[in-house]
Amino acid sequence: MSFAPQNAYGRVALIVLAVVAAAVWFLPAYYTGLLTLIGIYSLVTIGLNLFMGYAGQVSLGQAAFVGIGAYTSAVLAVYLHVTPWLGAAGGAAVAALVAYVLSFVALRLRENLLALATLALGIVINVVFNEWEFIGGSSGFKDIPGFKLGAFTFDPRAYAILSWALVAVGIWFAGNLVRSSFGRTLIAISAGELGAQALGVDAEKLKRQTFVLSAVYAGIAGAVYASYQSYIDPSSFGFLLSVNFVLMSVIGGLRSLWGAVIGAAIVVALGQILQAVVPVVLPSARGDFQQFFLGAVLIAILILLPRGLAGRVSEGGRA
Amino acid sequence: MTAATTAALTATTLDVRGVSMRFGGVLALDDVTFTARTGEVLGVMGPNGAGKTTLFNVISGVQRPTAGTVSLGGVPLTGCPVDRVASLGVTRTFQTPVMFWGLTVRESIAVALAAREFGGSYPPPPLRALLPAGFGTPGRRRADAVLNDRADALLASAGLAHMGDRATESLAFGEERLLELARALAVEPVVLLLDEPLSGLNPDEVADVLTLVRAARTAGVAVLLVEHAVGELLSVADRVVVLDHGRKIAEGTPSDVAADPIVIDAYIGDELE
Ligand SMILES: Nc1ncnc2c1ncn2[C@@H]1O[C@H](COP(=O)(O)OP(=O)(O)OP(=O)(O)O)[C@@H](O)[C@H]1O
Ligand SMILES: [Mg+2]
Repeated sequence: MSFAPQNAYGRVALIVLAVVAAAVWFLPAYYTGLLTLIGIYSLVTIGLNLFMGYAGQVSLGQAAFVGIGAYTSAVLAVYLHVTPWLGAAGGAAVAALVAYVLSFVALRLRENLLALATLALGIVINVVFNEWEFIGGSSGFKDIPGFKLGAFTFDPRAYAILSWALVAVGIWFAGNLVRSSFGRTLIAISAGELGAQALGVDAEKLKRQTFVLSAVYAGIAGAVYASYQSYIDPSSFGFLLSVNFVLMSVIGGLRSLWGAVIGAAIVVALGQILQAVVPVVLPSARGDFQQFFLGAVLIAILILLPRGLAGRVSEGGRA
Repeated sequence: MTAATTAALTATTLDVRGVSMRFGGVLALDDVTFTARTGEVLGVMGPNGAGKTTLFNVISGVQRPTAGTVSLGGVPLTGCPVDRVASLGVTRTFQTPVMFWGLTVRESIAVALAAREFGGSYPPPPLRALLPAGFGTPGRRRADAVLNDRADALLASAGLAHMGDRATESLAFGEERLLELARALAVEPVVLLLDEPLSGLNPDEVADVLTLVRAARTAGVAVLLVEHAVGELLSVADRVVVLDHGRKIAEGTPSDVAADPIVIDAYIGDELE
């Protein structure tokens, strides 16, 4: 039997993109904004799913790569007048470079230590954002130029479409990847690393390439975020955001690419709902409490649906 | 067969010299020396805890020996990581089969073939695998389709044609052993280390494994076979090395070894302990 890999991800993603592109003309601005945010987070989470769900690793520092993408693009645009289109490529490149260098330390480590190493990366990068006056220090970076297409400067609708176009490309690419021999080898190392190594699989190199790819996804997302918000500061890319990416990834189902999108949508939606509900129910509660409740609701989801909402990991158990 | 191929089939390939492996107070391997030749089945016998698995771990790069060297056709393997040893031509199976859950049987074989496609090591630089795969280039798709077809052909030759679409999670223990063996053969090894490939198998499966082992020998592979089923081991092996408490206590043809009082002592002594 000959098997030609077909990628349904790309086709479905085009339909989703078309729906978004139509919806933004009807949706109130508030929802268009949420849609943009979900698109940006989805992009990060699709990349993270390759590293966590398929390669079986952990990263608690993904927000740092988003931040690197955002700051790189912002610096290029503000200081060197580089268009955000190129800035996004630059952001992806710098995020990839940092991931590449870090991987030589981190990927030697087993899961728990890898989680700690990526966590430390996130913290260190955030300290750099805070202390480096050239990029605004703790007060952040203002007046970041927007994306342009000819004479047209992107408005919120255009950002929603842009972010979902990137989701479409990102999920198409990842979809091709997971169905290829590359993706199968990722699954092989996550299931039995030593067994794959005994066949000649350089597990560390494979994880490195995947980690760098996940940083590329995050870097591009960060660049779009920076131009969309036109303002960034270190707190936008803190530890809690990294945790939220892991939550999005796990809630949607680690070994599922659409799960990443579903996870991002749920975490963003829950955040909004809690922001509206918590002050009414608990008037004395402050911002931290929302994160607390978000965590609690998400833990409940995880207990009820351990494989995630779109979990496609095979149900078959060992005989 | 020409004289040249006969010579090639009896050439020394794996050279294990003075290998010792100490774990704290335990000397799991004690100055072990032997060679394996292309196109032979070298049986490795020994009571429980004799150091057989440790020997395989040292040869395959899982553990670095505390003394001694391992080389393949003159190329040193000592200290090389597992995947490097594999890319040089030494692969193995495990006492407890390692399955790639999440993949089908066919896909598991295709993983091995993908490594083979790139000179025995995977992944190659991103330009050669990651990016073509992600962009779904026609060339990469064709190459992957070829890997699938070759996986099917390999499964058929191992008598597993019916298993291709099965999830690895659904396999019975004996099927896991057969898949692991077929997977190892897919990388076309020079040296194949099999750690108790017959344990837990029914008689049909034992016959299947032995057929595959003999076919590998005919193809010129040096097969190192650790097995507690002494009858089967002696029937398939060309030569046998016997370990006891980490030391090589005997080496020779199956009939010599079976008649060796030291070997008999080691097994009986072990049973009395
Ligand atoms: N990683 C390790 N750490 C400490 N001791 C070890 C380790 N691996 C093996 N040993 C010890 O080394 C000795 C040899 O073990 P090994 O597993 O090689 O034996 P074996 O011949 O394969 O036995 P079996 O037939 O039971 O599989 C045993 O005493 C074992 O306890
Ligand atoms: Mg053993």
